[in-house]
Amino acid sequence: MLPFAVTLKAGESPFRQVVYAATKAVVSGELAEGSAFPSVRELSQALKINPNTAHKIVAELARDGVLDVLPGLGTVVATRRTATAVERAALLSREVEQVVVEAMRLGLTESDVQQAVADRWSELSTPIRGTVVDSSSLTGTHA
Amino acid sequence: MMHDPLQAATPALAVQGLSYRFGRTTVLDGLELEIPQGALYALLGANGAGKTTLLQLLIGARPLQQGAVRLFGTERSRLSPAQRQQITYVAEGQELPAWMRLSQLEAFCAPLYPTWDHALALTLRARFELDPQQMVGAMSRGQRMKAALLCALAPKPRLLIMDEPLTGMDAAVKDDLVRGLLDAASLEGATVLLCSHDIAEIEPLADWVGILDGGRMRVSMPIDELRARYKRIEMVTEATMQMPEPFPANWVSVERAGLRLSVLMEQTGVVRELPAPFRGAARIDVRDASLKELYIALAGSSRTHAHSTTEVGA
Repeated sequence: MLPFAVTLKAGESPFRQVVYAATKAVVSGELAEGSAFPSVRELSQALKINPNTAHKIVAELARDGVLDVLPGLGTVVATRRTATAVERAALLSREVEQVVVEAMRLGLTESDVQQAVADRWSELSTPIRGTVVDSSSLTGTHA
Repeated sequence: MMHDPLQAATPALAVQGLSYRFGRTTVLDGLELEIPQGALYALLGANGAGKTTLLQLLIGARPLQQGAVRLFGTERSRLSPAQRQQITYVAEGQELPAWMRLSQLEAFCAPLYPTWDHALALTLRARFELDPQQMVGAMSRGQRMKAALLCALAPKPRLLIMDEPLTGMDAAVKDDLVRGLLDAASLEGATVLLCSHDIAEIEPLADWVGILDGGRMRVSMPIDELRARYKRIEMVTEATMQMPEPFPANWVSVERAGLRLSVLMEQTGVVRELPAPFRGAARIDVRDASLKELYIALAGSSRTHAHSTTEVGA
């Protein structure tokens, strides 16, 4: 069993789904800093995904700074570091823009989006225990 | 997984101009296919598309009529015994000697392969919950398939070919088989080729996918590339809208119901522009196409084609 929750949706890239689920588990504290992250083989076997895909997932998470690869020991959840100026700028221009474009296309208002951002923010930053998260309202993919 | 780069560059399988006929029926028609080493390749195709015939031609179970098959760079007919020992094959509903116990079956297969790994056979036995004392003839369908897979994996093949390993198996057996296959795929540089109808099960498993239809490969590429290349676009059009005639060349399939229009199209990168008549559509959704949608669109297209040519000929 994996230490974080992920239910693969058919028809979507398992790579994106797992990278997203793991990142979410780390930022929300479901996976604690320094705790062991499953090996490529464990990911492949538990999720029934291609070992090459599992390998790419771990590599991507390490590149994103979510995981630390300790040669010979395995992979652990990295200590949360402050993002670089470039990373912050990238998030604010690219990722947020996508949300805004989508929202405008669907006819949402600016305050709809602000409210949704505030809700998710508090959800993910509250300690998990005792918190009920309605997963039906969360999107499983990360564009 | 370290490979000699020169060796890894040679495809595990290379097929050129492969044609095959049963009497007057052409099953394969100038088929081209290349599978890189280390791939877990899912071969998809409708019933009767020629998947089994193709696999049989690859392993040498049928004579070649036209075309060339190379395995690891060597012509099919020129493979040395040592090279053949690195290739294992499990047929659909693989026959196994009913009068043998599993332990006897293993003892029968082991000497055929110098690379047979007894420890791996034991691991697989435990994983598949197989009893070495059980007679093969008394096994369930699922147990027989697991026994066949055990015998195909224990030699640690460089190439494993399986014809419909999951068809007709219950969920628990499928689970065991899939995990066994993943283990095989993670062996150093091993290549796995399997054909299946079970797209949902195969999709997360495979890293390469090919669709056989009309005697040729309609698509053969890494699954990530496939995902990036095909989009599903759904829109609500205006009532007066005229469909473009003919359809743009990159449209794979089009469905229309009332004002709803759904197009599967080939498009790398972001979809920025639709053909002129659709720019005024009220609502447009774009998403990556799933393998299942693509399979239905591509494997179905020549069915209509074959049908119309039959009528012309009649």
